[in-house]
Amino acid sequence: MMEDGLQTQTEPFPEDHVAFEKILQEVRELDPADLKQKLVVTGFVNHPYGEDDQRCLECMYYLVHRKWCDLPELAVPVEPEWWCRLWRI
Amino acid sequence: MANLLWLQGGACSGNTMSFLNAEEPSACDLVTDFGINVLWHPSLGMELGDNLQQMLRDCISGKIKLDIFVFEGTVVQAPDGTGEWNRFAGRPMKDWVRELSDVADFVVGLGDCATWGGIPATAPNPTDSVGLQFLKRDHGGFLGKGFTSKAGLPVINVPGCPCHPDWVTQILVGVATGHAGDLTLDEFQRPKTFFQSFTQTGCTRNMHFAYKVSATEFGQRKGCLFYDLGCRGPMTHSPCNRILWNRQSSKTRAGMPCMGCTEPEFPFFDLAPGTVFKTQTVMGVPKDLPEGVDKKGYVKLTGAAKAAAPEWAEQDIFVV
Amino acid sequence: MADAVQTLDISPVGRVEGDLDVRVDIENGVVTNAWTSAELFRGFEIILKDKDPQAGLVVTPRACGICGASHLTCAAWALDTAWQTEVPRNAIIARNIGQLAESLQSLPRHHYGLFMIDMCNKNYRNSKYYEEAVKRWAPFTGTNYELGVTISGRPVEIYALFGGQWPHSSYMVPGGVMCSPTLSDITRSWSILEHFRTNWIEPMWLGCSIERYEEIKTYDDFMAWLNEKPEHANSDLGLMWRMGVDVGLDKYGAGLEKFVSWGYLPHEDKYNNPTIDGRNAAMMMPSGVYDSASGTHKLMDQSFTREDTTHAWYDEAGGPVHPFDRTTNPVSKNDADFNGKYSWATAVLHADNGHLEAGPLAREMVYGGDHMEGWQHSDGLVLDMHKHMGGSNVLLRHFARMHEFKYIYRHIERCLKEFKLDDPFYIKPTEQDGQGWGATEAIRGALCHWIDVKDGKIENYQIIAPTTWNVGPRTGEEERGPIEEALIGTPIADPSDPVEVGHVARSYDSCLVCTVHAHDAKTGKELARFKTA
Repeated sequence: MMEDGLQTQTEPFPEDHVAFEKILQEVRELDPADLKQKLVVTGFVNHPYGEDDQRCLECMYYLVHRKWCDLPELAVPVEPEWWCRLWRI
Repeated sequence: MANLLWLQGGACSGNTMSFLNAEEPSACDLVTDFGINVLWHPSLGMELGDNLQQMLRDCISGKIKLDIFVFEGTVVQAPDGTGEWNRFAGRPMKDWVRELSDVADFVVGLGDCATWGGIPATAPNPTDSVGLQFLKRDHGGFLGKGFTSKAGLPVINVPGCPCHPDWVTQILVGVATGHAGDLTLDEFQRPKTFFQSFTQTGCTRNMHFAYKVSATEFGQRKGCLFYDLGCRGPMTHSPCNRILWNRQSSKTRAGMPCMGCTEPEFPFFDLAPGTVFKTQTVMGVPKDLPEGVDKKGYVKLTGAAKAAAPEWAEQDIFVV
Repeated sequence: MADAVQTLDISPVGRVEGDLDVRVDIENGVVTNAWTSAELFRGFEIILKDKDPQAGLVVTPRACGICGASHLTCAAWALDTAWQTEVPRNAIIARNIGQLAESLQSLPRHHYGLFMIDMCNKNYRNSKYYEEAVKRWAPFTGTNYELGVTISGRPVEIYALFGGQWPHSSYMVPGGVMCSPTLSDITRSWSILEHFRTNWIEPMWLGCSIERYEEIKTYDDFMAWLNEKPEHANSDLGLMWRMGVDVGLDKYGAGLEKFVSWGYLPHEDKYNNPTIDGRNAAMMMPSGVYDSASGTHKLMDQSFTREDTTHAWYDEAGGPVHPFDRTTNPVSKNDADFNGKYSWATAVLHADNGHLEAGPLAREMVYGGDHMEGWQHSDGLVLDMHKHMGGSNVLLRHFARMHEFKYIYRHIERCLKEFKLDDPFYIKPTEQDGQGWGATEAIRGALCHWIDVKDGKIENYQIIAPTTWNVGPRTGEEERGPIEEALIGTPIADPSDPVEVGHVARSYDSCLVCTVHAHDAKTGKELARFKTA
């Protein structure tokens, strides 16, 4: 989907955990099977993002061997070079 | 033989209850084997009413030698500095505390309330509570910055909410057997032997901390509680994972985040909305980093840890 | 002609948890009037206002170091009802086992540490059992005191396996529990429970097996058991009973003879979607009100709770109000005026029945009813003993407490059997605004919390503890509080050492640290009213 140029909501990046929780709450309200909306709300892109080149590979929730996002609200397969605004370390 | 008097101010009796869980030595062993003479304890004594008041007066006059004065709970100063909201044996507790501290060889503050003010001193501190020699991080408290007991030591602070029975019994035995000189205290007057190490020291989740695997929700069978659930283990000084609780476990082992209860700020952030059991972050990075680690180092560590993470780290580990 | 009235102020009454002052009038060696004053104010509900909705999970266990698991239970269920969570069956079991472990701990700890010490009082030196009592129960050095107090630490090891530590864990959270126990946690728990049975319950407390004790269904059965074997008569239970009768503990301390229990231990398959109204139908141990004057049982509901501040240090107009509707406002000058205000505790009432006694005796009187469903717990022993003894008294009240080991032990066993370790222990809830209520039975009686969450923070938090029921002052209509009433008629052999007053107070196992936080705390003019939905 992302290769097809899916536009996602990359900004604003959650400044603190309260803003983070808000996005999480939006995701929780989606149909768990609605992958597209999940990607849109969390602002997924298929490349590193921002001036620090943040990417899934260093993210807290990235499982290296399974190439999987371990955040229960997302629980999707991801690539190490991707990024979303729920990025945490 | 050392005479010990134990009083409670603005207290929940939690440190007493914890103390009674002690096994090696037990509360009774202190009396029968280690020569501690308990003059009075609110839950354990024989004295009642007037007899108790007389005994307290005898301690103050010197008729009874007071070797160790243990205080549990906050010093309640409300209303208007009178202390009348916590009366004991016919007068404000704070007046007893002052006079008994002045005559005791050693003064021991047990638990967060007596050391820093603890939960009762949480904003807006309705009872105007303070610890014996601190209020949160501020040195001074009820007895004043310069206070030393007759033996020349400041208040010996044994914090924790509650404090572990072994931390108490070791200190009491040390003092009663003449080993008080071996005690070294840190800047918050905590015995270093217990409070130099971290809560994280010995935590069963250390491998997940190292490889950056998070317990994202409660009840999971893997993961470190620091990243999402607000665990303060890497920033808190205590031996909770060296000297286990109730001989069995610890909060972090059981899946409960450390709340930093041996530190003066407990409860952290005054329990403001959004702060309980949630890691505080700034732009995706924890606001409070492990002690002594800076943000740059933390970012580098994360990259290295992820790169090195073995496959097992991604699987459940505390399995049935 | 009667002697002049002698007034005795006892400050503090020792070995109740917290600072309790008692004033009694004595005439001809008997108490003719009594006042109980709670003397500590800590302000917990003020602290909780405007805080994180989950702050109660951290703060309220620390209201009371003795019943912290009970507070945590209430705090968690209150949030569950407010947030409309789903609680998995494993979590209900894990919460119940925490509550039960704390209660089991409290039996020997209270019995030896707080209650039996009085049997060594010199006022009883003429009892034929005195020498043996001192040998067994003298503080610190008594043989059974030492074993009893030390072994009281074991049941909470079970708590630690699920909650990390006791006291002061917060492992119960809305949606379940934090832990995910493994098989070894279950095995260890079994082993600890067995150790407790084989080292205290059977050899020291009963002098027989639990199974033999479980055969006792009536007062006559109990007497037959007592006289059946020397092992029974000389057990700590047997000796407590015989010496208690010998020194007259069965003759005073009656109280109001009206009782309350919230009921507790939700069934693991009946409270997975908890609501305030659905609670009574889900409890394994039923709630109830028992009035012994009319001999009637009925269910208890939180909506009947009232508080009366006429004689408490609060400046509030009007008669008794539901806790939802209080505008709590403390007076800052708390001088004791026994015709006016004299305690930080309010008088807690039932809208129809007035003052009620809470605690193990109250629970057992409730369990003797037939107002519960067939699957819920019932047990008629204590009610039958009550009838045979002509009412409540100090000895029966303490017996009722200790009698509860029987089902606490069996329920811990049941919990350990019912866990399905591979199933979830937690279902993450969605935080939301709302009102909740959570209750339980702490070992010392009925405990409950009300919470109102608004705009993502605590708008109001209210606690009523068992001791608030028991230690409360008179009502506006001058009905004495339960302990005040129980003190009437108490014989005082030696006014300079009124151990009998201590007996009555300690038979209620009052916990002032708990009470005071409760009332004193929910103060502050700025507190908004807690409105019912």
